[in-house]
Amino acid sequence: MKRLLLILSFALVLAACDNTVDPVLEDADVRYAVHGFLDMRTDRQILRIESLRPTILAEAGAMVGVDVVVAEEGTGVRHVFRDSSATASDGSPLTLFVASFRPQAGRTYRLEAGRPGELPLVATTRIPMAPTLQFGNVTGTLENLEQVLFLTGIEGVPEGVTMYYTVTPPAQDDRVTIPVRYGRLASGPVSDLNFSVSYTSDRFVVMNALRLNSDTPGVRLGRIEMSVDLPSPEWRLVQPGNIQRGHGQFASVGRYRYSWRLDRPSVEILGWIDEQAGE
Amino acid sequence: MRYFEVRPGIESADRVHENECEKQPDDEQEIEPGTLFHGIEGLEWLGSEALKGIRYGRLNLLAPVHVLPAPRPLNEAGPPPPEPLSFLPLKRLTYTVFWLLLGAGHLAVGPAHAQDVTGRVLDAETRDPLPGATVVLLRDGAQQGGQITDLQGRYRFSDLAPGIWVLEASFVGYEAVRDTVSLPCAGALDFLLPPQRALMEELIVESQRGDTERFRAGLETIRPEDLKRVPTPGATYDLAGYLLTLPGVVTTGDRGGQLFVRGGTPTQNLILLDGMRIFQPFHVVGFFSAFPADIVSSADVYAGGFNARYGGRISSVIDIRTRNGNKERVAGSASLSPFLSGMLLELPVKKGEASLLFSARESLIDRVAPDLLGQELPFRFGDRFAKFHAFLNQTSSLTLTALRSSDTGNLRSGDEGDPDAGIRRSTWNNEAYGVRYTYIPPEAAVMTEFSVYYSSLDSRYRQTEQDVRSADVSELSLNIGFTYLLGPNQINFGIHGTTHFFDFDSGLGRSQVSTGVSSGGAFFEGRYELNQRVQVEPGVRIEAFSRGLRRTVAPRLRLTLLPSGAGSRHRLSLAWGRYHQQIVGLNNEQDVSDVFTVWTASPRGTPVPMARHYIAGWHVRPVRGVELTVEGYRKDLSDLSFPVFSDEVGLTAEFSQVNGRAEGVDLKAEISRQRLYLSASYGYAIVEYHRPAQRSRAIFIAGTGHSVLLPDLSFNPPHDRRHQVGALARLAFGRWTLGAQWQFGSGLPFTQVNGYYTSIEIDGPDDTGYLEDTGQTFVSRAGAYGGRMPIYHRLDLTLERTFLLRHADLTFQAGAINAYDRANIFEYNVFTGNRVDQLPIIPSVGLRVDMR
Repeated sequence: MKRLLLILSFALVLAACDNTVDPVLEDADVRYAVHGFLDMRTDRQILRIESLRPTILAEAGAMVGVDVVVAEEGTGVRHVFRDSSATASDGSPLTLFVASFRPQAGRTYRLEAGRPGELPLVATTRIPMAPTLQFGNVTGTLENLEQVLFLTGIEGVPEGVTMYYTVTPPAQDDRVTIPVRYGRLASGPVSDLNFSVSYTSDRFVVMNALRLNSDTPGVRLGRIEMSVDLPSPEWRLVQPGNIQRGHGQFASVGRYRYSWRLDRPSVEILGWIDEQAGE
Repeated sequence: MRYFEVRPGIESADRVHENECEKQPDDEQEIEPGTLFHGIEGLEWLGSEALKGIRYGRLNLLAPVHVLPAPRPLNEAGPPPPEPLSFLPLKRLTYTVFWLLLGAGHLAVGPAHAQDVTGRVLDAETRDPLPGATVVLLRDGAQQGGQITDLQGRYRFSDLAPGIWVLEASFVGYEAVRDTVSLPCAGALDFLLPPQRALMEELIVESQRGDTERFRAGLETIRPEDLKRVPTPGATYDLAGYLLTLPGVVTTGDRGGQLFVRGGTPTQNLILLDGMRIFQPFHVVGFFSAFPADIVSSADVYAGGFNARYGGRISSVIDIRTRNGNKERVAGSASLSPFLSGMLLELPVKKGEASLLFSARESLIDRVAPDLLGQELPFRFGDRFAKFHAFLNQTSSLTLTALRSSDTGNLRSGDEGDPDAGIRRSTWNNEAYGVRYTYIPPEAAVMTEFSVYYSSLDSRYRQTEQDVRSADVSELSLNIGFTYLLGPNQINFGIHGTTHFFDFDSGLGRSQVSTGVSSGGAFFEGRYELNQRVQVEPGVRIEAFSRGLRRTVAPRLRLTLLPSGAGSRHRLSLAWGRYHQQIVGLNNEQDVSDVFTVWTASPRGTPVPMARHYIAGWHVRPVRGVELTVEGYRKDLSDLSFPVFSDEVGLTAEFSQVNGRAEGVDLKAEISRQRLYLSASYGYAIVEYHRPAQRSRAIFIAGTGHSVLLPDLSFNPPHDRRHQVGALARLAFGRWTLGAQWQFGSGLPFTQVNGYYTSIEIDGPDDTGYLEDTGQTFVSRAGAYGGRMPIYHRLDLTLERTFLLRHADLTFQAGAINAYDRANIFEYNVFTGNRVDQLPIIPSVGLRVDMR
């Protein structure tokens, strides 16, 4: 009992003398912040990762020895990122991590960043699946020619819907592809969506891009395509919650491209010459 | 027993009280001058000097009246003895209802031949009651008993045999008075003690604090002499210093003046000065308040479980009653010290009938600190208090009260090189004005009080030269209160109407809000002695609001048990109640050092903050001069607003709704000897908040924060002090008095950080600019309030010497605040690492002059 009291007294005196504040949690599990996304549209993936700074004024810590790996769940394929020094717009140093691969539709990717022996930052994202495109009839005249398209099985919000018209200007041989952005088609997540492609309006944009009057004859239509970008859900959530032991944003984007053939009468209504394949 | 004792004039206290047996009570009884209402708890709100109005008047009592009858010989012819209870027809129904409410049937009167002697001990000059005075009962030169007067200065000796009895009343600072009564018949005796002009040897006298009135669960009654036991720099004593010695009171230390009472926050404390609500009365230097000891008559500190008369706050009540100025002669005092200097003046406006009391204090520490201490102490504060009291006629009195206080200081200094460090400043000003009229109708045993109060708080916080935030609140309140006197039992009820105005400006043009809310309500509370062992105090408070807020009904209950009756050494007390707070003060509770508070009506669409209190206390006086108190408590809190900070550094807080609980146990031991006073206290407490999963929201600063999804979370808020120890000693030797106070508190919680990072906003899949964006600095916080600040402890010392001069008493005081120079932390900025400590060792000297 005496010994216990002695120990308690000693501990109390020690505690009473201690007068320091430890603002930073020692052995914190949270060490890194990641910003970036896996992009199905490119073969080069870039992530910006930094280690947490101990004070608000300190510079970002060195990332030497930090391993960054993205693993494809299901297949087990691992993509190792290599670090690359860069500078921010204000000249301060930062570290980018780069890997060469193109993520696949519907696959889940798991990011791990950390030094050996420590619990790594873990973040996951899944590339949204490709929706199905179905077509309605083309209706209208030159003033209002349009076609209803149906996208079904959408995961998330179609972020960037773009029509691509591949045409050949009069008296030329080289084809050019003119994009016409439709932008976001929905304000929130939808599973099915129908929208109208206004060929009349698009024709005006295309002719304008070719620096031609809208009624200039001789323009040949080679192909019509549409792309849909589908960001993963992490984009639209303030707190996506897909990052453990870390902060920032880790997401992905799927891009899906569709092409179809516009029937010849409709092409002629537009004043163009039909050169689409498959006739 | 249930009666009002009636006795002839109290000014003839030096004669034997006898030969009054001829008076017989009747239904409509004329009360002789000097009639004393007995057992009236509400006298403190009536004003103690209301007694004087009764003294000179004639009162017709409609309440049950029992004038102590003379025992009649069994064979004596004559009319039958009067009924102990009598009612006038007009009031019969009302009283019947009251008695039904109280469980009528407790009508027993005392033994036929034994008799009680009761009375009060009063200041002969001010007629203020003297709680804690000693009344000794003697017969044939031998002491037969002793009593300590209660809050109203009352005493009672029960079941005395007929014969001659001698009573002697004494109190520190007063001359003792001895008187004689002859029983039967003279059952009441008041003492008027003249203030003592010579310094008594027994400056510290034995004080028994354990009488029934002064021990109730959750309640600590503070007297002026209690305040003078606490070492305070500058020979100017203050209520704040004493509050810091209470085990359930957690403070931010000597800066900021924030009190957390048993798990509650400062904005949940109801602070009343003569009934006026004071919003932020504690000075920027924490051991001073706007209430100097010189003006305090007594103060009730309810750490919880308060009665139905109090409302609008959910944690605690500090109900301060000021004393009246001297009506007989000019009196005054003055103190001079580098910390705080002040003066007090008492003027009899009309001798014996009206008086004025004026007090003013001003700090000097900011002006003398650089030269005296070699460091800046940028705190300036002061207060002014004035009170006019007059007896308008024989049954009514008028009180006018005014208070102003001002504080300014830089509580949150910055880093070296911080250009805004010298600009940063917190300022707050209180103003309160009150008119109170008390009236005792000549034909009813009811005390009535009408009062109108205005109180306001202007609060400013200057972050930078351009960023100045302001928050003003004002309150206008009309109150009518009634106290029905039913012998030892009583009923209080009152109604009130209150209007609040709020103005808030978040600075930099971000948000301006001006709004108001009116409310009305009523309370009802009773006090009922089941028998000599059990006293019950039920109550209920009802309030309704003009906008958005729902009606609230708040029941209260208190139970006091005396196992061995009135003289019991052991006393048990239980309290329970439900409390609502419709007017809330919002501040950055993430940081206890932040004093800028925005008052507003509880936000629309959200439940009103509510608390349930459960308190159980035990008080024992094991031997003479030693008192022990143990009190356990629990407060269940719900729907509190608690700030949520964005991870972005510097972004304005949003709020969340949290529930919580505060529970703990307070222990206190006191030893009172003639020259020595010792007290030791220990408080153990756990305060835990629980935040259900929800979205954060802006309450009154629309658009400055980002609503985020908050996960389910439990945490200990930043005022969760687990262990608190206090020790107080005062030793008198000769004309010297040594005072010492030691405080110890375990560390307060704070949120540690994992670190900081640059947060980049990626606009969309086509955005590539994020790869070189400079972004915003965000903080990664560790577990909520998982860290603890260092332990707090401090020793304050004072040494006083008093010199008795012909026309004044001079008291010199020397002392040291933080005597062993402990670097107690006041604020730590986890973002910058900047640390602000509390006051270092500060030697102090002071001179006090008390006019005779």
